[in-house]
Amino acid sequence: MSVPASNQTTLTGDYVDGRSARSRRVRVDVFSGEVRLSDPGTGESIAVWPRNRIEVRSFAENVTKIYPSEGADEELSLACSPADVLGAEYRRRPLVHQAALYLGGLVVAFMVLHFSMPAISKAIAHRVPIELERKLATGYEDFFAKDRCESALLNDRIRGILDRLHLGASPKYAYRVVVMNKRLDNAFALPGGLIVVGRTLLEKAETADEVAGVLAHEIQHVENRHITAGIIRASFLTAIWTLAIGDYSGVLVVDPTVAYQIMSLKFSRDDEAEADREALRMLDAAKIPRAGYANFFRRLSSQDPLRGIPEIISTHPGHEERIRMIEAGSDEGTLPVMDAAEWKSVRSLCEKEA
Amino acid sequence: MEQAALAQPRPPEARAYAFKFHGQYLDFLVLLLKNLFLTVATFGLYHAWARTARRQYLWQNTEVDGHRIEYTGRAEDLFRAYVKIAVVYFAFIGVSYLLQTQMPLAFAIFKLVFAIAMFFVFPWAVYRARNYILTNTRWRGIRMSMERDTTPYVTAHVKGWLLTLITLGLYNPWRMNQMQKVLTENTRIGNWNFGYDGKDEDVVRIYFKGLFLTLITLGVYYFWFKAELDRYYAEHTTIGGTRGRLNVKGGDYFELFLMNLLLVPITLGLAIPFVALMKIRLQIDRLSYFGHLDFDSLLQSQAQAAPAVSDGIAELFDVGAGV
Repeated sequence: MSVPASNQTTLTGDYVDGRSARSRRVRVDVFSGEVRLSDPGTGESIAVWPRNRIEVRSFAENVTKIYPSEGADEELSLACSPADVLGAEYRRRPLVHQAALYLGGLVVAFMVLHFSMPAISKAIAHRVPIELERKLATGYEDFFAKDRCESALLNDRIRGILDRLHLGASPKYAYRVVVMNKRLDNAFALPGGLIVVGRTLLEKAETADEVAGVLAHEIQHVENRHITAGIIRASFLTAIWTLAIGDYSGVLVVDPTVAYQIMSLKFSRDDEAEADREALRMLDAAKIPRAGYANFFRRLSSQDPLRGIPEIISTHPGHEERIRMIEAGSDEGTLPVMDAAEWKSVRSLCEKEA
Repeated sequence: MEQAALAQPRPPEARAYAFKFHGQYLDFLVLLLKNLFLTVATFGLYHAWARTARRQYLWQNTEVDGHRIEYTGRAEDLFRAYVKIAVVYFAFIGVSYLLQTQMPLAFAIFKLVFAIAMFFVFPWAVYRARNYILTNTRWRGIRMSMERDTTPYVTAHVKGWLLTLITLGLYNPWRMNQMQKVLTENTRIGNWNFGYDGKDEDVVRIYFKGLFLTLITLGVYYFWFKAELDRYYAEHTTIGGTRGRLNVKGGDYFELFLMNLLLVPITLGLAIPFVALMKIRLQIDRLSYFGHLDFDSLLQSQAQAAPAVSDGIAELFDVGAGV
């Protein structure tokens, strides 16, 4: 903080010389060119500091310290405001104004982050080589393969569904499907083209077209790099959040990461909607009936214990909304992936072996 | 006879040298908001400045016997340290990735060497980070520091953890007391060293009593255990003719825990600075040293400052410097 020229001001302070901790009361005369410290009783000069070199630091409204130069251990403590030393040059914005300024800035920064993150993370994700994505998921592939369903017939039929889907698109990835012999009523994809489908999902599917819809959806997550973008986004947000709040984590018993997790849910919903749209395009191109995919969501909707969950805290769009979107198209000229009776004869093979 | 008695110097009067924290919630909230805003807006680059500003705020709002302490560390130094650490960190990740994919055997050896090295680097970083912070801490114009030699601390750490592992945890209270001793006795202000006269057997008694009662009270006694241990450490710490006193009770820590548990989620995090300040205030306001300090004999010592990089490494490992 630089000190402006002003008329002489006389103050009283406590001085330490930076060599010992002994503190002594001094008279302080602030001139336009220098600050003079002297003994208040005898008038003996103690120090003369050029004003253009001194450093003034405010510790509180009524605690100010002056140093002869930046980094010096010699110091003068004054029980006054920096304004008493610096005059009109000292200006401090009221705390409430500062709080409003930074809070406003924070809201704007989060809005910018919120709207720019999906595009930035996707742009980066699309530049990640497919080979690297595959390498990243290698460990997970081995992990899921341990519980793989070994039914050759079922795996062959799933491969058939995948081949039929490929007729409608020329995918960039070599897709592999692992049917997990576990009570898992779900499916998910990993970067690099691995799709994991739970045994229960297959058992509950009434037609192979339902499974085709689910696989098309997962394929689109991979094709559109949603998972890789999600990893990039999560890493970035976690890094910023850790840097911003990490210093305070030691005093907290509650992890304050909930805020950005809620923020990232919206990204997931957007990805889900995109995967749905593109999956329908894939089904249409492969001439697979949309009805199966709609039926999958209808069944989910009737079984979903969290049906009433508000969309804002859900990672997926609502089932009704998805069914409406699927049924907006026509099934004219389509052909089921597999005969319904044949599907019913193979869908539970996994459980029989377990 | 009377004249002779008058001529003799009077023994120095013992008194309390009190600590007081002056930080206010609104000030701290503004600082936190500013740090948060600038950290987010600069994609994390402001972190070094945020960390330094936070330390400056906490230090300058702490008063010891009527004199504020100061933090003189520079954010620019910390930032340069972060850049160096980031370069080494990414080089390390690159080498690990290359070895993992190209030379699996070399990677296995590398992992083993790294794990062993970490056992030594970890305490070294904690000690050096503490030295960095203390050499940038000043009271009455006198700087604090740590003794330069890190060997006693690293040795105590390695020996303590090895014995704790071998004895399946039984050695832990001995380790804790030894670490407290070496850390305290290597801490200085100017030409004075802090002293520690806590006994292993006392800490062992407090520890096992605390462990037993914490278990049978399903964790509730932990706060009383921590308070007893903190009081013991403080009361066995000496400096320049004074001895520490810490007036905290388990109920104080328990109250703070409940406040933290309830307030932070309810206020969606806005209470973070409030809870943080309450904790700091409790730790500082209840601390004092009793005895006599001769300020004329407390002299500046030319301790060599540790580089900021050690503070950055300690942060990378997510460990505090215990200041």
